[in-house]
Amino acid sequence: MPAFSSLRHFSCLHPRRPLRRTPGRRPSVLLAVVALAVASAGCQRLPVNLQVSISPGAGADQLSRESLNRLSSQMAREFMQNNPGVNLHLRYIPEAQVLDTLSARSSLGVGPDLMITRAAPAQALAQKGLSRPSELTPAQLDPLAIQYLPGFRQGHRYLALPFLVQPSLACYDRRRISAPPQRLDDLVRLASEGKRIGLPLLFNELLWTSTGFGAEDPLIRLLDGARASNGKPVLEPADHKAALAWLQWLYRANVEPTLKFLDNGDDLVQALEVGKLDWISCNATAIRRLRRDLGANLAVSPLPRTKDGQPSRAFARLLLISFGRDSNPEERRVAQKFALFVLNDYSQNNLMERAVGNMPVNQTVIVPVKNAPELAAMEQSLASSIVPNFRSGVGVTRLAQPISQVLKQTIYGDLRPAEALQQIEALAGASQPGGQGR
Amino acid sequence: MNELLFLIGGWFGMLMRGSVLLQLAILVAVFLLHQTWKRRRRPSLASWQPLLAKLAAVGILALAAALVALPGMASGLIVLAAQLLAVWTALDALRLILRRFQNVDAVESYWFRAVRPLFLVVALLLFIDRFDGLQAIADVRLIAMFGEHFTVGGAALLVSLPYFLVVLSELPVLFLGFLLQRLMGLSAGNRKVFELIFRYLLIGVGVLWLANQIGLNGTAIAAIAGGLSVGLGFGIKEVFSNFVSGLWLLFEGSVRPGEILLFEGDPVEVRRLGLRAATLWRDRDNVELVVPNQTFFTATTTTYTGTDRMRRSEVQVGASYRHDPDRVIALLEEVARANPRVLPQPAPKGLLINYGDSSIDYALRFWIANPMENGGICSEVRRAIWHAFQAHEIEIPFPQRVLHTSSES
Repeated sequence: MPAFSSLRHFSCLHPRRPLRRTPGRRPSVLLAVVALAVASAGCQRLPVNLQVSISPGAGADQLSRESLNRLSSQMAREFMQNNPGVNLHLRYIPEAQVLDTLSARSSLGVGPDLMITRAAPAQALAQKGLSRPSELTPAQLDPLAIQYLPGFRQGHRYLALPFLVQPSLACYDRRRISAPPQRLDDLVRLASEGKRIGLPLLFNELLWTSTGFGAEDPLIRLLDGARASNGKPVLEPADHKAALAWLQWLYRANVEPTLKFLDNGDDLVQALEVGKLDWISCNATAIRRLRRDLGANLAVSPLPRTKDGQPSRAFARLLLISFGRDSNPEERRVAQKFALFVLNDYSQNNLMERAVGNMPVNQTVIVPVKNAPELAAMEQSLASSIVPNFRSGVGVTRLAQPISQVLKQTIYGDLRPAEALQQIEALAGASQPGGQGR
Repeated sequence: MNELLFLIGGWFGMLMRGSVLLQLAILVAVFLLHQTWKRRRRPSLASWQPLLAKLAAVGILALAAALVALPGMASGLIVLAAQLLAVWTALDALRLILRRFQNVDAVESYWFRAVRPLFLVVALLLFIDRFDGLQAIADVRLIAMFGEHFTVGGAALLVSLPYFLVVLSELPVLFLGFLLQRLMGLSAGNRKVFELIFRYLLIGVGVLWLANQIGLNGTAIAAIAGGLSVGLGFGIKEVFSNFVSGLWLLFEGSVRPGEILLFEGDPVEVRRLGLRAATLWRDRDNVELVVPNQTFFTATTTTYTGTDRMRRSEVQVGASYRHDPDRVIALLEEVARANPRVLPQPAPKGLLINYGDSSIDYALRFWIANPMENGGICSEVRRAIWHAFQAHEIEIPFPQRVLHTSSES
């Protein structure tokens, strides 16, 4: 029986020993596992796990979001191939939840190492201390020739780094409209001729129509917190007049039955897709989705100019990279390396060519405008676009929702233009430090 | 699967951050402290001491969180643990209070089967959500099935939802049954029928929702139905047959909980009518019989509670030939009437049933209100007959054998 006698060492086969676990052993087992994990961590070099959150922004449709996500994943894979021992984990967070989600994670100490957001959330993250300034040196950043960078500077550092820019355009069905309207008046004339025109009811996406009235800059300044000479957040008389003229134009524009205002850019894109509209103002990220449905019938152009022939200045979306506050030094080092990777010529060019609607911020990247009419339109639009930064334009995005509501009431006749302007000034005042809203 | 391992690997990286390790160390220390206390004291389930210990742990965690947050370090993990522990303590307090007013076994059963597992699942989900977002892990693809990706979320639902559907549907259904009984004046039996049907409905809707959530499309359902049809033909025919029989019996109302049946010669009470089998209680030996529903569906069922709950009982006795049968029958009927557990109406009836070898055989038939009490009442009546016969000098004869011994042998 020698073979069987050895089995008696196993407690489960011992006849006299009860098959019961001692409760007190469980914590010690747990501790042993933790100790083993920590010891193994110390003995061998563990991979660096980099957490990257992506919030491309409200209104970014599923397709463009998926496209960006797919491309980000591809870039992450390429980065991991070039950097063995680094694991990149991408997480999509809806823009509306980004502050709450990252705040909750950061409170646990597990905030992401990198955050890709639009300007307004990036600023909020910086203000709440959920992101920390970039530690990249001028020697590292200068060769990349990053556009729009100065708008994010604080002292000697940058609170966020521009990543990609998505300009606004005009998208139309070339079967219905042979040549795009050149000026805003042409757009209204097209509508009066029966062409179905669509404009968004979102303030930041509609603001380009105010360029010709001279109302755009004063409104941006107002919402960014500039105060009039009397110290109140109101418009100067001349600016007030310009803004009123724009609101009156909107008020009258809705009279045209074929000029429709829809709630947001996604609704406009959908209406153009199914043939309910012939011309819309759109963000460049919608091109991929529209191309899928309209094929060669889709045409894009810069937005119509003002009455005087000046280019309309639409808001472009700018995606930014912010650095998380919870990273350890190694994670921070890799995060900086990844940021430099996505901003280099190769990645920026890759993004431009494969994620339709995204333009590089790296100015050394050559945009092939001759071969791609869409890129040409985007390049042309971008030249006159307003790109928000932490000093200017963020207020427009931040207050877009409540002001859009005011515009909606104005366009549908519930509010007179003068009353609407009063409400916009009140909203601007309420959002400023010391304002009613604080 | 690789995707899941990759994701969990990412968590490991976050857990290795200094601030997170410190928080984990504090949590483990408080946990060990609590376990040590528990091992030494060994409090009972009904004791309030564990509650106080947990409150103390919440206090320690809150203090630790405040101390960690002082230098600006992350303390959310400790705060989250303290919050969860506080909720757990409140639930435990509720359990102890309920024990005083409700059936202890029922409270403990629901506590262990429903409240504890549900709390653990919710706590786990909350933790994952705060840590990395539930959606992120739920969307991780495991395998592709029928052109759809089976995700971690789907797998988790598949494992947990059926259990919670069955366990958690008990309470709302009981409440609904109570409401219906009060509002519509339902009988207890009908209430149980409604409760069971509502429960099946809840479970059915939950299963359909689950199928939708885990991405079972029409093709998949058709494939599964095809597989089931083969399965029904062989292995699970009986299961399906029992399930359908159960539903039918519920609607028919012959085997509802509370009904009393004659099963294998004994009166039994229907305790439960489940998806597969009915549970019957036999009082003579206090056993529960689990009988497949199909049995009642295909065989004759003898019920005492079909139109009323009365049972006619019978006691047989023999009396000597020398006694007047009319006198004996009158005496028997008087004995039956004298028993308070014998119903006065229909009136007890004595019968002469046979001229036997050594006695005239009589039967006393009488009605009782509760069929389950038949054995006890019959015994009482038999005892009373013996005493009455003694008092009236009526002989109960029995066969006697007389042995004649021959002197020659």
